[in-house]
Amino acid sequence: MNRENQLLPWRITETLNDDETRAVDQALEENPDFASERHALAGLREHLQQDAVSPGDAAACLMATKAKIARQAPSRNLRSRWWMTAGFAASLVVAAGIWQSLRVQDDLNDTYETLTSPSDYTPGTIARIVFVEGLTAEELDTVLMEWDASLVNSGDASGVFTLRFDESVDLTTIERDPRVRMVRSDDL
Amino acid sequence: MLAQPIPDFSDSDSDDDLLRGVSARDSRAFDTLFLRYYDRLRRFVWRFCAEESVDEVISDTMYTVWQKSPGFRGDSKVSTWIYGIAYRIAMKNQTRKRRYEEVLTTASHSSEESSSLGTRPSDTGRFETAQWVKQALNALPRKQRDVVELTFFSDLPYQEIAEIVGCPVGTVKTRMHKARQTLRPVLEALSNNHAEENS
Repeated sequence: MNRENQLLPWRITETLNDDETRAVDQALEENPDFASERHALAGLREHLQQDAVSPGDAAACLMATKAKIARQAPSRNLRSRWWMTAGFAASLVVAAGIWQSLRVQDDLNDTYETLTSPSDYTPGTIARIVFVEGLTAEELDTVLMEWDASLVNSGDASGVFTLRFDESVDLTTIERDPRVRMVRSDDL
Repeated sequence: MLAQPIPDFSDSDSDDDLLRGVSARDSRAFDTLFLRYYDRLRRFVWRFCAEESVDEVISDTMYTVWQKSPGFRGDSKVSTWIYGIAYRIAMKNQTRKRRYEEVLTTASHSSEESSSLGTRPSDTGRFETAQWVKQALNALPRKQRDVVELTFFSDLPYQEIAEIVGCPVGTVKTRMHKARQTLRPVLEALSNNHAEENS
């Protein structure tokens, strides 16, 4: 058994190096036992390769491809990243859901109820205010109407009133009112 | 990107260099790579789709090369990667028709008696034999036929064929083995023809 015959099984498994592969191929080429198969394969190759595609217009095809790149790149990019778009949409839905659930929670927090004392508590800005001396009850009512505020706690011994304002109120504006000596936000 | 092609730019560059340029969005590298591969792809793609679809498949292939080049890891040869893209696009092509089927349609009008794989045409002229070979190939399952064509038409090694069609090398060998069994009568006839011509 010559060296090429010994190498033949390894040629089949394509585990030979280039020199060994060439040597085995050469031996196969020259071996008359394989002539029939060789002729068959050569004939098949010949028949397949005699078909020829007509020449094409490379420049036109190139221009069409470049036009496609210029025209479709953004949309194809978006399409190819559909999962990013889908992910973004899904995160929006989740965020909206969370926001909605928090809103519901806020609404629940707006009402403090016990078995014996239901309450119609409404949210707003709470502020402690000290008015100038000598403010009468009528004047205080006028002030509350002007500010759209309600009295939470009437003035204590130190003259501090607790008022509830609409959330959009600017306390610095209140502080500049000549009837007010001092304002402090007291958000609960 | 819409500038006129510059065929001779970087023509001496390797495929890898050109693909790096394409991945860096170098239009001239793309032009050069495109023009380098156009004829090869035309011959390659033509085996798998109708002739009128060939340029469309090439265009889609090179468009994909442009898009995917930044992700090319170099695990295979650039040519194998491009052929693989072309093969998959050709397979997906909606208007895909086998050239052999078209040839058969023509041949069936002129050679009714050659409709059986195992029957060699009585007239053993070169054209008739060619039609018979094509008919025999057409009778193969598509995957086997693709392997035969890639082996004998494109002269690609099994490893590259496996990468192009996206299957293990062993599967390519199995397909080739089965194809050879089916083609046995054809191969025997070709063997005789070839021997006669060479003697």
